[in-house]
Amino acid sequence: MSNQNFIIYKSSAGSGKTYTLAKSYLKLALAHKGRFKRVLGVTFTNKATEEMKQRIIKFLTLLKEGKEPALAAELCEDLGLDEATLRKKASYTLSDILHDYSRFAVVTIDSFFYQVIRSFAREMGLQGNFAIDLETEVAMQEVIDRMLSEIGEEEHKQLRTWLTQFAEERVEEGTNWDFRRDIATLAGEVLKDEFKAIAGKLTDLAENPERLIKLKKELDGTQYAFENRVKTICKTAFAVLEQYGLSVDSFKRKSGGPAGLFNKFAKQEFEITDTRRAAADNLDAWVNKKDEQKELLEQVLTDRILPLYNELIDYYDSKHVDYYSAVEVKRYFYTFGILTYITRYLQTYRDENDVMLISDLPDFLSKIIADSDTPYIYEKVGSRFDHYLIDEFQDTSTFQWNNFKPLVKNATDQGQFSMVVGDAKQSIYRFRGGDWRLLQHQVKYDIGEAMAEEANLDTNWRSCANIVAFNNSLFQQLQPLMEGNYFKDPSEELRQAMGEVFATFQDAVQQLPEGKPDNEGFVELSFLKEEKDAEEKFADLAIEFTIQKVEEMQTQGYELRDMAILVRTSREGRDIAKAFIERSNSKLAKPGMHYDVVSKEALFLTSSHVVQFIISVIKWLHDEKNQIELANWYATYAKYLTDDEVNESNLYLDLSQWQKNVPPEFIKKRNQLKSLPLYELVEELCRIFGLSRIREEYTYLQGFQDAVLDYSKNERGDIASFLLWWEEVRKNRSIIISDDNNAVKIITMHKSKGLEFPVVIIPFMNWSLDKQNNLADKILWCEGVSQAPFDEMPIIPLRYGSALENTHWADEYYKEKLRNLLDSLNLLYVALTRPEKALFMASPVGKLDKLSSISDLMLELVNFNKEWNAENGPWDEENQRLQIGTLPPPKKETSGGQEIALKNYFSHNWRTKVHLQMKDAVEQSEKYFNEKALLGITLHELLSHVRYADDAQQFANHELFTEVKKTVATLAEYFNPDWEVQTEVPILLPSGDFKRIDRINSQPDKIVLIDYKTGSPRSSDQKQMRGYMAIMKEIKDLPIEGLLLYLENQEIVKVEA
Amino acid sequence: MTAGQDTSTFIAEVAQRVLTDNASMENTVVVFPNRRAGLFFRKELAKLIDKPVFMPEVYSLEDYLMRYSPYEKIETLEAIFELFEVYKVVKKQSETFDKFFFWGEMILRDFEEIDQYMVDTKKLFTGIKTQKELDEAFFYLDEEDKATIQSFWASFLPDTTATQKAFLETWRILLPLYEGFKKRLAEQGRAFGGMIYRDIADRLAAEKIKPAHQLYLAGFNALTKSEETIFKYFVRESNAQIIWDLDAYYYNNRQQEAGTFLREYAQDTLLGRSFPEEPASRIQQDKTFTATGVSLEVGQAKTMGEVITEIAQQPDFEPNRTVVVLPQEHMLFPVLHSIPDEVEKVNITMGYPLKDTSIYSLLESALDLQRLSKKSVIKGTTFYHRPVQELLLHPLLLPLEEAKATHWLAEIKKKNRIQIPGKEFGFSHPLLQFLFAKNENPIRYLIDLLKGLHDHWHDKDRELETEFISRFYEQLLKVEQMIGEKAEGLGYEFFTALFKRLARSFKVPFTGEPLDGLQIMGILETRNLDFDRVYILNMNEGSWPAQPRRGSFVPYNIRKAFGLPVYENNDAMYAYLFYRLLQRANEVHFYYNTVSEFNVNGEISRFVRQLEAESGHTIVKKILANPVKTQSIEEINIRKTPEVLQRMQRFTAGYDERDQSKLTPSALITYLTCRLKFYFKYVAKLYEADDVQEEMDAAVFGNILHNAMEILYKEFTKRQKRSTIEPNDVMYLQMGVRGALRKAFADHYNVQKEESFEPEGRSIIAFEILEKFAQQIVKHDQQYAPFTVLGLEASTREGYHVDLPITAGGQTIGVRIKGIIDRIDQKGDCVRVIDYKTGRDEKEYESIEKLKDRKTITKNKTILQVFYYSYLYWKKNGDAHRIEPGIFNSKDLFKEDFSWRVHQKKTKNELHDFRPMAQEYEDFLTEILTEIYNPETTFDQTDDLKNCEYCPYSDICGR
Ligand code: SF4
Repeated sequence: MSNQNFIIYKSSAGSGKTYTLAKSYLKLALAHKGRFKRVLGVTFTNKATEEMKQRIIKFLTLLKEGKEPALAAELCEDLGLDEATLRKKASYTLSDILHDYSRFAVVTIDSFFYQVIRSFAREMGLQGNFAIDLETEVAMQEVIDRMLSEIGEEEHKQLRTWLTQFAEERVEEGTNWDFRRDIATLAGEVLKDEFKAIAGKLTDLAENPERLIKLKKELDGTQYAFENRVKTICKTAFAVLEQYGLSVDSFKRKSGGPAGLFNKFAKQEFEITDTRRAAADNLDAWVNKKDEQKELLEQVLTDRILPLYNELIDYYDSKHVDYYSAVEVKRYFYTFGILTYITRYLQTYRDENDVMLISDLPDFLSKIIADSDTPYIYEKVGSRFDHYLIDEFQDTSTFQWNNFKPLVKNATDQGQFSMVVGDAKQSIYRFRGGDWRLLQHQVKYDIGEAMAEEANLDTNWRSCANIVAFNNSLFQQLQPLMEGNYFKDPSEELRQAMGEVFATFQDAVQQLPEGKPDNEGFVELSFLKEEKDAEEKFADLAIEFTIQKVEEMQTQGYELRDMAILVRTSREGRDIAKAFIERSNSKLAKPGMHYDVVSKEALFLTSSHVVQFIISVIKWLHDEKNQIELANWYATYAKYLTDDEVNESNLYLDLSQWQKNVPPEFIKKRNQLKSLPLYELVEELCRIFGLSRIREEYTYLQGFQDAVLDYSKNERGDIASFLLWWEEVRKNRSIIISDDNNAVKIITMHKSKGLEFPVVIIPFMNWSLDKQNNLADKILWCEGVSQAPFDEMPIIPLRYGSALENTHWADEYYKEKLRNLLDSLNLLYVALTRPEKALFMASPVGKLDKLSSISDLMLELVNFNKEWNAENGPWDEENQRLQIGTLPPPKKETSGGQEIALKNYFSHNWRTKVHLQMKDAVEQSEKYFNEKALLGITLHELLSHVRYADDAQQFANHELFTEVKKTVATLAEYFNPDWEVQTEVPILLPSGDFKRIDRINSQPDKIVLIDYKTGSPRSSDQKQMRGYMAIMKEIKDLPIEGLLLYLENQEIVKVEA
Repeated sequence: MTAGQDTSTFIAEVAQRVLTDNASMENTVVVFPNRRAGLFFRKELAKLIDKPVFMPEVYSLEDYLMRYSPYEKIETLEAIFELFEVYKVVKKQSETFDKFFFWGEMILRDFEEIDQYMVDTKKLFTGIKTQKELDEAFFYLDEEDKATIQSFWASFLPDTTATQKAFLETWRILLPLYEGFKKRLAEQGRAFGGMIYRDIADRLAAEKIKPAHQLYLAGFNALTKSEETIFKYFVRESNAQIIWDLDAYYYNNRQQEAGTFLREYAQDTLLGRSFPEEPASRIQQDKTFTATGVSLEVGQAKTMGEVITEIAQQPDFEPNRTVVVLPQEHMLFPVLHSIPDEVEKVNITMGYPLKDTSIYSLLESALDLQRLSKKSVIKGTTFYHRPVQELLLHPLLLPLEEAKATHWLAEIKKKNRIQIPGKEFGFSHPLLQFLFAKNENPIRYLIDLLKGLHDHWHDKDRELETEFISRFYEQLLKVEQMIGEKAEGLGYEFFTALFKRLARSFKVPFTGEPLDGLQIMGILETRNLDFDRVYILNMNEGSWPAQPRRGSFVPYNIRKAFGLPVYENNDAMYAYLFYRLLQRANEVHFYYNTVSEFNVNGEISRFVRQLEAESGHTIVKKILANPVKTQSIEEINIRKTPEVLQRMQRFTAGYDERDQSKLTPSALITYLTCRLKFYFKYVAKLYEADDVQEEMDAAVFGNILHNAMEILYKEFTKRQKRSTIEPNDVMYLQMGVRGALRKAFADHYNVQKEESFEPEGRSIIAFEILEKFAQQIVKHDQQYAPFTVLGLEASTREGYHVDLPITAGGQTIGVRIKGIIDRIDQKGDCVRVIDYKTGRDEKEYESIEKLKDRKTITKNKTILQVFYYSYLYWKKNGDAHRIEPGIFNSKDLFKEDFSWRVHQKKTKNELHDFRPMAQEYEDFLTEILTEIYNPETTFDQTDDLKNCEYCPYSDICGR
């Protein structure tokens, strides 16, 4: 192999990333038998994992059948094989993989880490059976509730004060005192990598609160010192003026003029405009030429006011940074302690439930990795890997990469091939720790420049020429477009950082594959103008725009399934979906047009009447006093689930009516229902209320039942805890629909990554370049600075916001602001590179020279491209619309498997077909432990081992020995050796019936059947014996006697045939 | 079924063979891998006879072998306790049992396998310290195995890392543990499964045991080393007959893991004999296959249900030749409910999971109750609210003492009670008394609890529950037997965990039609059985083949080298089970999940892929995709029908003297925010669940402040016998604040003796904050003093109510309105009408006209209220004094330039006298009320979804 055995693929959108990955895999797998076991493919999501596996299997099948010439050719080339051999190898490898499938290692990062950790569980002091807790929110809620429930206790005094102060802050800011939500948001922090990195430092701080309290004092000091000083200066100024019978209004432009500064500062509005600064030594700025008081004013100014004025300004200039810093630090001061407490409680939670949060995995692994050397890890895990193929590398977090590094390095150092593939421009998971710089620089450095080779995949196989062109023109020109518009006056450092950002976009101009027509594809960018004080806001316009486009595309012969609407937040998704649904049932709906949409963001289980109904009934069963629930389910039932007319206006007035209108079985069964297992309860409700009447809702019903099933699989199936759980998850439980469903997909840009659609519509081109998915308040963890008191703390939580511009942490702020910019741009890039044939964008009218939102950027873009604005260029000034190219015809393709649908959603009563074995076991088990019966059974057992008198001896020291001997004595004649004896003899009848006879004594001329009985004689005993005798007769035609021996009183009963 | 297929089943073949081989079968024994096969064997045999016969004894392997063992088999749980005893000795200082338990389980599993596979433990557990040792050790292994092992130990040299040390720490004690453990058990005459087998394998040869009967071993596939040894022994010593069930398809093809073991045995001189020259080749006879992809699980059952519904109507449908295979136990319920009524008889080999019953939840709650209980000096044992609620709500407990139970449920919810002292409950029912008392022994606690439940319910036609109770009772008695006196020490933390795990295996068997019903079974139960139609659910990776049992102290490579089973064995076994089931089937349906998530596998099973790629059979692929369409939610628009209007009279003068309902400002505000909400709340009177909502909390918060302030000033004025407040009174007031708050809280939580009141949880913080408010208010009063208090919480009684005449439906009616005024005080000619606010409230007003604006009502409601109060005051006292509306709102309270006056939005001018506006305000009220009572208008939904966020009726509206 070449020594460059580590390839870093930088693949821009549509450049066949997955193909490259699959090919690399095949190259390795086909090279040697069984080689595939040594390859680890790492993907970002479980879906991706599965697709990758599928793809590899598919390729192998095609290769085996000689159906993938292009790929075959490449592989033959690379492996130096002829076509025939390749086919043979493919066929063999395929079976090899299929039959040793557990070694077919394409996995997500998480599951790989999980696997390793498991094999080190003991060493890491984990419980043997720890599990992964996936519903982090639910866990967090529990943790917080637990914490809050204990603040009363003495040892939590400190926490109490912190929380109180936390709450007070809220109150003084006028927000709801009840901070449970705010805490939840805050708690989210402890799961982030940034936090983990500094958690240690934080804990020390929290350990000794005195230090914090002292610090708080000093901060207050800094703040009030400033405010008071300013106040005094202003007061003096006012005093002076008063003394001369003057006021601020006596001066030029009144409070608007320089003198106004005193008012402002007195009101604690600290801001000095340049004009005011200029006025510091310029009387004309203060006094009107022809002011009759001119002398006096100038007199007072020069002697008294200007000195104060300058003092004020100087003081401000020298101190305001400390002041603002103090204010900002105090804002999030208490988060210190609270967070450390949460961390502690979280730990308890983990221990008590033997769970790990998914976000814990990297930590744990790093502990393992740090300590053990690679070979040993492989040994423990039980499979060693020589090749790592890592996908979506731009979304890998530093934590994760550091865990992989040693493994990958170990492989490459041994001359084995590995690779990563990713696209910095599509790094949109920073909030999950994803760090594009790994791909851009770090990885190369970590592996060793000598080993690593960078390869650019920049051919766009996906999008038509015009779309590619449009994107290129945008992302290449970012620099000129944005320069100087995003930051007021960026520092040199910042400028460089920005340059770097632009670079990543520039050096990825997309190429067209040869032979692809260079004028195909359609792009439209419309700026929608809100009319002055019209009801219609941009959102409404954008939605209307979207609906229109969907209609147009249909008239152009596109299927709904060809279209996707990309949104930024699930909220937007919901609004759009809602609009479409409403449209489809309104008269505005155009004939022949369809408006069906599917969307994980919008189609929540709760939006189904049936599900609504079930939940509501359950809630009501849980608390029958709850009028509202009664009203809720009864109304839903009356309105949607029966055909009888309802007068809704009166419905709610007399709810007791419900008894008359619902299935009687429900009224009858109500109480049994309550104690049914949750899943059964739901089925029963479906059956009793006949909920299978709305076909379009089967999928919801199914989805809901799956949720219930999944829940009761892991948790206890009782109503109470289910409802609690449901409240937590209902918001984000949506139905899962197969992609083949012919409907427009509404999907968030984040989720759209890696997907492609013939037509893409982006209704809301208006997100802010700065604040990403507007996380209410994001915490920045900053280092302390040398200056007191800010040197007290190794680490400081600050709220991200422009307020930081005037603090010691301005740089941190700008850096974050830049990262935000990058997030937005990447998101934009992802969104714009999804379409194959057509791209539609709606944007509000942006502002030039002030880049704060994507819409501004778009406007800049249009302005910038002179040729667009040219006479009969694509830009239509009047309609504020850019239209490039023409719409290519849709290509018809058939979907995968044959689609089937449920004709009905039956739910049957199984209790009519099969029953539970009822044996009231309490009585039973009383018996079970009741000596007498027990002995009866064992005695029986013992006797079956006693053929002849002597055999009894084997039980010499058994507690029942005497009993045994008694019996042997009673039946002495039958226990002597001249009998041939069988015990416990099974007999089968042609009917299939089956008997077991305790003892058969045979002699050539006769047979004696003996049955031991516990309990007192019953007539049935004899009947049974006669039965035995009859059967015996059929087997051996000899004279037969029957004996019954009652063990307790040793009574013998002879039975006549 | 399709003609020309040979319909004989494997078991039929065995029966045939045994019958023809033996003139009389009284001395033959037939052994199958499991018991159930016996049933079918009998059935098949019966078909072949025409008169009664001595039937061969039929056993499962384990049952059969026990006769050769002197040992009694020990239950796993018990074994772990025994193991722990040894562990403590071997490992000087040991963790507690609960920490040990799960590792104990793992160790036990390892020991099981070690014996099953007859591994030489001395060699297995060698530890390597030096290179020299490494080179010399393992000479007895073949090169490959040797290499693998050496590579493992090599990494320990030259020196060991922390994790490796940790590993060795356990590794070293395993040998002594193993030996000590077996010795201990042997002395008790007991043994674990593997130990028994290994012992028999040795014993047979040693004691030259010769069975007197003809032995048949039928339908085995994967044998452990000891089983293999035993089989060989019987073949050699007593010419035992082995009958394999195999197919050329996987037997002859080396790549097919399904044949792995069989091929291996075929090589063996002894076992080899029993293999056929020409193995049957059924798998490739024509069969039909479908594979249906469904998102998640329930849909699989439903889809299958529909298919069976159709099949069941076909004439050739034989339920007993049809099987539904559930690789995942939890699919039982979905499947049960999907079997159509056309199928009358069903047989289920898995049990009804007790874990899913309401009894289980009850027990778990009970354990939580004890686990989360706390001891405190003053209060004694206190119980955490969650389990308490769960228990009181439980259908089997609630009825015991309903009144009290519901009382406590309300109590807990309304007052956010968190830890409740046991002695407060005061239940009189013995069972409840027992339940809510500290109990030291978890097992006994549950057992007695169950006994109590049983005694109460067994005669009240609750068969099902009673049955479940009994089953748990039975199971727990067993557990108690095993754990015995140790129970005390276990503690709830651990026992809860243990119980959760044990309960998973508690099942109630079904009584079905073992032989002629439609069969529902798990994978393992299909062994030896053959069916014509096969339905398999969860045909996914990780389900079939199932995940190999995870966790072992013996690392993979070492296991491999010493012939211990590794996951490959697991896969191979499942592969065999899969293909074997296909052999004699005609029609096979797979259902699989298509959704991949962290804990759900959306990958179709490798076996289906194998079939597809190799067998030449075509598998018809289907996808379940139901049409999806969301009905838009119909608007709710309530017309004022006679009935509705009739209800609305409640608020009108002269309606009914007993019902003095009056409309309040909040009613009006509600009406302005959402007319429908008004209808629900004030007309239909749908009350909210007691469930404490976030914003409810906020309200409570406000109310407490009001009360506190009232109390503070009432008591002060009472004590001082004067209603004027002087600036220097403030000191007393400030000191009074905490007391007043305490009382207010106590009242709210209606605790009789306020001194006994202790705020809990969040209310502690609420308390602190409210105090801050109160103090601040007092501070402002100080600046305002001297002034005279005219009224506190003044309302109807003080005459602050009005009957406002309006015309509706042609006639004039008086609508009763009232309000509660937080405080009225007077200074000079100026009367302040004051409202305290703890929310986001604004003190700006634009105009009275603007108050009607529904868009801004949320912003204006504070003003609307304080004006309302001012109006009431004016109505009562007329123009005598200047009326100043005042608001103490937390938002501004702490501002430097706080002013209690309200001000006009634009001019920012403060309002110093309400009187000029009073009349206009009255008109405003009249207008609103007229609209409310106007029969033409309707109660419709608000346009502003923000109003719906916390609205208790949002579910009804679907907002
Ligand atoms: S949910 Fe919205 S619409 Fe329905 S009653 Fe409440 S506020 Fe009115």
